[in-house]
Parts: sequence; C-alpha cells; structure tokens
Amino acid sequence: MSLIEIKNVSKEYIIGQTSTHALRDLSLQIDEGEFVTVMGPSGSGKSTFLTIAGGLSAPTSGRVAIDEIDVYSLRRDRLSDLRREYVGFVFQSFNLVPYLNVLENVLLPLAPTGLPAKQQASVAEDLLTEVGLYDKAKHLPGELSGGEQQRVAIARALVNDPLILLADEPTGNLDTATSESIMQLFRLLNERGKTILMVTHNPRYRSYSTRTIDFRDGTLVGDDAKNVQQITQKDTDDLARAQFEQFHRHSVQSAEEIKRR
Amino acid sequence: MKLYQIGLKNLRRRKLRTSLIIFGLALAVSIQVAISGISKSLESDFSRKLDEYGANILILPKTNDLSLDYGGLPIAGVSFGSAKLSMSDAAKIRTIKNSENIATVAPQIFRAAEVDAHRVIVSGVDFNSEFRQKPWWRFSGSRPEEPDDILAGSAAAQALNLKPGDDLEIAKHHFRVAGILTETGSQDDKLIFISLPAAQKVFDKGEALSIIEVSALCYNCPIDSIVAQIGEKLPNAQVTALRQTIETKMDVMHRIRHFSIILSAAVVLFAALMIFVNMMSSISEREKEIGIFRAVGFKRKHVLAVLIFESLIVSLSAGVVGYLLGLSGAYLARPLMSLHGLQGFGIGTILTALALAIFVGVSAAIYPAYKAAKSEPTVALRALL
Ligand SMILES: Nc1ncnc2c1ncn2[C@@H]1O[C@H](COP(=O)(O)OP(=O)(O)O)[C@@H](O)[C@H]1O
Ligand SMILES: [Mg+2]
Repeated sequence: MSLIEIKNVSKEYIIGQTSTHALRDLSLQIDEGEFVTVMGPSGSGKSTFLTIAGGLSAPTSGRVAIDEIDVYSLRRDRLSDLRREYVGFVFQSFNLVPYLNVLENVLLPLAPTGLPAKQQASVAEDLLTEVGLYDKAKHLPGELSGGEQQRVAIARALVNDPLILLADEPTGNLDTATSESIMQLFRLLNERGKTILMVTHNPRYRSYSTRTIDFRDGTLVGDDAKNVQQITQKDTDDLARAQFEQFHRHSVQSAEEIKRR
Repeated sequence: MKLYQIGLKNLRRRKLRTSLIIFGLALAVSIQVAISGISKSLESDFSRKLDEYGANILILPKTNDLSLDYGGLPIAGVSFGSAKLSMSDAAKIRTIKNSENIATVAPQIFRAAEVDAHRVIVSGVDFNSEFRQKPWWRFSGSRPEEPDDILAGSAAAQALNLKPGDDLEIAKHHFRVAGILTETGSQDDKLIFISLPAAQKVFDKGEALSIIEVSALCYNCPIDSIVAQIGEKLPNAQVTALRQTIETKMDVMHRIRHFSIILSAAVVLFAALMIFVNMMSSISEREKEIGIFRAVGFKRKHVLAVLIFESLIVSLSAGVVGYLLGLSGAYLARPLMSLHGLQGFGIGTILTALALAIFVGVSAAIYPAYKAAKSEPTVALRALL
C-alpha cells in the first residue's frame, strides 16, 4: 500500500462567474521514502496538488488517502490532527511568525499539544543543531538570512516528526549556493526516511530526488516512475528537451545511489 | 511553548501597537470611572449637606387652635392648649429604625409676647441646629452664645428699633441683643430668637414645644417611610414632609446622574468601536500568521484561544490603567466640582472597571477573531503560497 494515494482528484476554484480547473482527474500513488520533484509551468496546479495531498484543502471530487486514512472524510478537528502528525510544510516565503524567535517558531506546531516544555525544548534543540542554527535560537526571523529562515521553517516542519514533508518552491527566494545547501538538507532527510514532495522550477534539483512528476494545465504529463513522457510534444522547444534529458540522467543517477545504500 | 505564550509574545514584541490599544481602552474606562466617581461623590456630598437646605420634616402637635403661618405651612404655634409635644418626644425621634438618616432635630417654641408695647413672636430655638439648618442666615453683631443672648429678625428689630448690644425685656426677663439678622424674606424676619432653655424658663408651660424641625439626611431614602416611622413614635403629633425643598435638589442630582450615564455610555461605545476597527484591521494583517497556525496543525479553537487570550491581557491591563487614570482624573477635578471627598473608588469600582474593559475589549475582539479562526486553511493558505 502506498503512503499517499490520490484517486480521480479534481479541483475547481470558483470565483464569481469564472471557474478554474486547477486539477483534472488526477490519480497518483506515492510510496514511503520517495523524494518527488513536482515540476510544471506557473499556474499548472502544482501548489494545488501539494495542498490537496497534504490535507490542507479538500478536492472538488476524488479521494486522497494518507497511510490508508481517507483524509477528507475526517472531521475538521481530526483533519488538523492528521495534518500535524503526518505532514510538515515548507513554503517559498518561509512563513515564519515574525514575533516569535527561532526556537519558538520551531516549537509552534507543538504549542497545542501539551507536550512538557522540557521535551519540547530538547526536540527543538536537536533539530536546530541539525539545521545548523543552534547558535541563533534566540534570534527573531528578521535577523536571519533567507537561507537561515528556510532552515528554521524546515526544522519547524520536522518538529512533529511527520512521515511526509511537503515543500512548495522552497528555494524560490534563495540564491544558488544557499539553494544547494537546502537541497542537500532535503536529500539528507530523505535518506533518513522522510517522504518528500517538492515543487521546484529549477530542473537541476531533480538530481536530488528519486522521482519527478510534471504538470500542465492541471493534468499529469510526466512521471518518470510510470514513464509518462507526453512532454515530448511537437512544440516542445530545445530547452525543454535539454532539461528533460538532464532530468533523465539525474534520476538514473539517484536510482543507482539508492541501490548502493 | 504554550498557546498563551504566543499571545503574550506578540503583545510584548509589538510594544507600540499594544500600548496604543491599551491606552485607548484605558482612556474610555478612566472616563467612565471618573464620571461615575464624581457623580457618586456629588450625590454623597449632597446627602451629607442635605440639612443645609433646611428642614425637610416638620412635626406639629395635633391641634385645631389658632394657627401661625410658618414658611407657608400652617402651624399651631400660638396654641396654649394642652401641650402635646415635649423634649422627650424630640428625643424619641432619634430612636426610629432609620435613625442614622436623621441629621438634626430642632425643637422650637413659639410664644407671643409683649415687648415695648409691640406684640412680637418669640421663638425658642437651639441655636446650633438652627445655624446648621439655615446656612443662609447672615447677621450683624455676634452669634448668640450666652443664655440671655437673643437674635432679632430684621423686621422685628426695625419695629423695636434694636441694634446689637441693646438690652431688651421679655416677659419680665432681661435679654441682650447679640445679633440682628439681615433680611431673609421669610417668616424669620418677624421673629425674635432666644435660646430654648431661656424660652422654657421665661414662658409658662415652657416645656410644650410648638414645632420640631427635622432634617433627614439621605437623598435617596424614602422620606415617606421616615415620616411614617416618626408618626408611629409620636402618635399625638402631626408629621409632615416638606417635599419641595428636597425634590428640586434631587431632581438636579438625577439629571446629573442621567447625564453622566449617557456620557459614559457614549465614550464606552466609541472605545468599543475603535477597538473593533483596530482588531479587524490587525486581524486582516494577521491573516498570514493565522494561515501559518492552521498549516502547522492548529485547530480553530487554538487560533481563537491565542487571539482571545491576547485581547484578555489587553483588556485587563486597560482596566487597571483606566481605573488609576480615572481615579487621578477625579482627584484632580475635585476642586472644580467643589467636592470635599471622593466616593465610589472602592473594590466595587475596580471590579466594574475591569469588567467593563474586558466586556468591551473581548466582545470587540470576538467577532474578528472568530472570523479569522473560522477561515478554511485554504483561504489562509493563499497568503502563504
Ligand atoms: N484559492 C484559489 N482561488 C482561485 N483560484 C486559484 C486558487 N488557487 C489557485 N488558483 C488557480 O488555480 C490554478 C492553479 O494554481 P496553482 O495550483 O497555484 O498553480 P502553480 O502552483 O502550479 O502555479 C491557477 O490558475 C490559479 O490561478
Ligand atoms: Mg505555486
């Protein structure tokens, strides 16, 4: 059984008279331990896919199961619990709470849990050490660089030790060097067993993942796990072809890496 | 970290915004506290000084004899019939149930007397009570101190051609004119006042009182029930309340009270609106933060708890600050209102101030907080992606 099962999911946003089909009849399975890169042009439904897969917003139709739990049949409060236990989110704009310091931001998901302060602190300190920010625990987000803020956000996403980490363009606001270090952190986490779904525009980062899926207009047009390769349409430009070849090479590489382990 | 700590940290790290809201709400609370305190103090001042407005209860012997007009009221002043009011009756007045509301009891004797071939009315009074009940009395000469000192009404003095220091004979007893009253426009102008013990010595059957004037002190207590209580103690007396003296004054007090209630209601409403608007705008600013809370697994009630806790802290601080501000304001305003003491600043007012602040602060915060917390994470999410 897959960790995440998405079956015939559609999502339609209706604003006034106009409706947007953000996802159309999407079916997809993601196994535990996969690191999935989600690609596609802007507006193709990547973010929508991520929020639906992570229990943050209900699809218009279709079914999402996480760990065999039918996510959107849960009562509202149970859904919050599931989100907290299974899913950690990392955003492009970090989304730290500006008036909480680094340590407090990391602890935020634990605030409603009633976990004793000592335990909370030890979990957070371990995570901050892991993302290399132990020294800056008392700093406010505004005093950190973008890369540091994203590390705090990643530590926060991990504080509940969720099975799944969802990241929506986590390096979108970061320079190349910083992005590389964040990607290395993701790879490390994946190697330790986290299932990761990451939206990115940068084809280079496919090399860190084990699988790439590709969206156009709300449908899946590429999935290297299934060899869905509709991306090679007549009008595909050279750049896209080059990117695709690169992506193919990298994914083979990482598959080999996995075998080595 | 606990939920409440999130609210606290927000307030602590946004000091300017927090202090502005607290100050705004505190200002409203302080105005309410000051107005209600001043109006309570005015009332109590008024109660305390009620006897200065003259007597408000007259006690006469029950009689059908010839009457004397006193302050527009018919009294059986010159009756020499069977004495029905005595000093012991006057003492009984202090034994009624509402005795703590009795300020002064002024027994008086009126007797007609022949002085220098003029017929005048002599009134035996207790000068201390009389001066207390009639603070408007002005006189030339000095205040009567000795047992044979008299105070002459202006008309009587003119008729008898009296000036301070003159000697005078009343019913074969020797008296000295201590002071002459300036014109009062009342019955007092025609009277000659002597001390009550002197009157009782000079006149036959002097122990018989003509009238007892009583000042009852409380401005809100039922004057009718005090009248009834005195009537029970003195079955031979006719007890009458002088309503007008007190009712016009009470009317003024009621107007002040109504005015202060309306004024503070307006101020409080204004403060509520201000906080409401502030909360609304700050909550739309905080949409992103609420989205983060929801995304990391906060339930609606958790978000609500954070927001309500914040407004509770703000309200409580505003209540305390507002109470202190109001107290100082009322204290400073004291000379303007010619108030002697301040009333209504006890524990009750503190609790009222806190309750008011919490009611205004939290109820103004509840709707926006509810609105913010109830948004689907999807909506909040748009701000995050
Ligand atoms: N909350 C929303 N309300 C209305 N339309 C939305 C909303 N979120 C996304 N959309 C629309 O759905 C489509 C897919 O959006 P999105 O999933 O954000 O794409 P991507 O992340 O690939 O850029 C876009 O056309 C977008 O405008
Ligand atoms: Mg997006």
